Amino acid sequence: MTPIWLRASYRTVEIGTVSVFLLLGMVLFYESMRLGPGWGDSGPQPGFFPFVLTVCLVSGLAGVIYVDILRRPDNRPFFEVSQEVSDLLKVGIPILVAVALIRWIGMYVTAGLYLGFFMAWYGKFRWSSALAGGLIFSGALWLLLREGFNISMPMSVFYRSGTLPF
Amino acid sequence: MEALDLLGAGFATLMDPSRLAFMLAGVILGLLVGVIPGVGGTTGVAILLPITVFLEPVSALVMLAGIYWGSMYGGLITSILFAVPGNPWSVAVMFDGRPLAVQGKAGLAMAAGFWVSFFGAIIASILFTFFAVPFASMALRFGPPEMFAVLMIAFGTFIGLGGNANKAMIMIAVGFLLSTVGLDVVTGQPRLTFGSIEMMRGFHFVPVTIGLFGIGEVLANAAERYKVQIEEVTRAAKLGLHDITAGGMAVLRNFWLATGAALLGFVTGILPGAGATPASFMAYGAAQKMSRHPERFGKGAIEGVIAPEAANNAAGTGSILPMLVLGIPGSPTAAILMAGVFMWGFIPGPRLFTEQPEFVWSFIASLYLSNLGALLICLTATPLLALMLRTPYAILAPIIVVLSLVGGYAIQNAMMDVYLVAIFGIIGFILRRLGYPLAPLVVALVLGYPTEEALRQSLIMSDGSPLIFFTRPLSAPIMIAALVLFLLPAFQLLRRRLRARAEREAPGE
Repeated sequence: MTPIWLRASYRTVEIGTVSVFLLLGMVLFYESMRLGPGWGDSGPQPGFFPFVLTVCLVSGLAGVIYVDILRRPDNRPFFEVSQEVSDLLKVGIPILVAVALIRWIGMYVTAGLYLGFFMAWYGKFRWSSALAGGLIFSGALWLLLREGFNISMPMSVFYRSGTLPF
Repeated sequence: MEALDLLGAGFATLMDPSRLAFMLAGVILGLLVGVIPGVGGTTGVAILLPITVFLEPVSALVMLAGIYWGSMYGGLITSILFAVPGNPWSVAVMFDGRPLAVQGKAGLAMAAGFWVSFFGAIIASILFTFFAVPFASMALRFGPPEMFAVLMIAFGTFIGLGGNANKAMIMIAVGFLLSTVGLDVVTGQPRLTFGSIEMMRGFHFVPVTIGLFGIGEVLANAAERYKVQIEEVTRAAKLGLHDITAGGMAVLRNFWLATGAALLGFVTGILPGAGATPASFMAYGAAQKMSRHPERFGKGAIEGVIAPEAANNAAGTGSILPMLVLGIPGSPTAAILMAGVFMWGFIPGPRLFTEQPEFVWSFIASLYLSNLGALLICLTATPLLALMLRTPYAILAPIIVVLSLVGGYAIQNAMMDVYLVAIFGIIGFILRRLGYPLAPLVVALVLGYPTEEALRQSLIMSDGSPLIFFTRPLSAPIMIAALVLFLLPAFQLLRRRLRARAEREAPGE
């Protein structure tokens, strides 16, 4: 039995995407009605432009539904081999973890940890090289952003409590 | 000549060591970005935009533009050597560049590509120099209806000349939708915010662009990594003196082809919304049609390298013109540069030329110098650039991701933007795979405010009648051209239908 992510075809994903866009269109339509889609005292009302957009969005969606879902559906699998999915997850999940971590440990620590981890885990580097890579990257970012251009970055909880300088 | 005097003043402004250094830094960064598969010039400019806020405006603009020019040259190297285009506009050059590389003529193909890129860019820069002022003085006469008509040309181009018209339409609507979130430009009412303060600020287009292009590209490459095998590279990437002269000669032999392609590219680039990618494909197609040996194309014809490269460099330069003169970017990269112009405290538009001549003309002067720099670096340091390709993916991907997150945060110092980068990265990955064009979304998001403003002001002027776009002498032809672009896919469909019917009926007669 093929796992579910390999059975999804382009058409399935297309249907999902179109549904999301339809939902957006409904929200947009509702909002344009609330704001007034027509002519007010001093010209078009705030809802006029969203109303025009609703028309554009729906007409484009109708075209996609007709052509890409009904008439000429693409039934190839969205992911050809399971390696594609695992490669995607191996790259994607660390990104999400890193994004979630920034709030707690700040941009500089996250950057180093993420690079070091990814080198060691995905790239199979020796842990010493990974550690060096992480430290160098964090340091370079610090020099460029903090010392060079004076751009503020998210800092760690330790910075906010005053225990660490980053 | 007034333009030459102004250009001279521009060179004088640019001849400041730190400005030249930033310009060169931009070109080198662009070359690197162009060589690395998975980071296009658009991404490079978007990621580095936040850093330039802290620079002096002239340095900032010439550096960012340098990244754009550099990436045009850099993309050529990977397209020819590995058939891995670093940018969408480097795809066309691959058709013949790659076969040449397989035949062992990679050096010749690259050298010819570099020379002709320079040639195309210089032709476009000369046109830019002389067209800018007349263009700006014409634009000064534009009222809201004319502005709206030109904006419609931009979106009509995406629909008429892009791939899937329906999907382009959806992307435009979604881009506008994102731009509508926040306070209404005229009445100040909150729209699509659902009572959230966070939403009131609206979507800044930089995190959205960085997400769609930066993270989206990283994810797309991750999923396709198992297909790409990068071979031994440094050996193939040598450029001998012989290649350099032979490449230059090849360009000279095809002088008229290169000139024609550059002109075509420049015009396509000026068309708001078109940019370098369609220009390179159009030039390739035209070169093949006009060639005496069309059968050689695709099998390593040097003309197939020369035409698209001349066109895409000229188009890249051309796409900046409507951005500076009208505030309407010709490509997503120009859209990002325009955001920069706003951030550095200027307003793109015809008045920029009279109020900030130093800024504008030093940029135009930098067109010449950046391209010269890029050419010299390419001809001498291609093996070094190709070394970049050996940087392991496990190091490259995190660096791109972190720079994307840094860029997303720095633009408004908001954590929300970091999350937006990640969310739009995932959205970008899915849309890219389904064949939705991403450029219309970005351009619509940037132009949402001016489009809505122009539309509403025009309708106020005419008391609600849309006929105003067709009755004014300047806006009428532009609006009709825009309508033709919008209806082009429908015409093509109709023509195919009619032809199919004719073919079905013919045997029966």
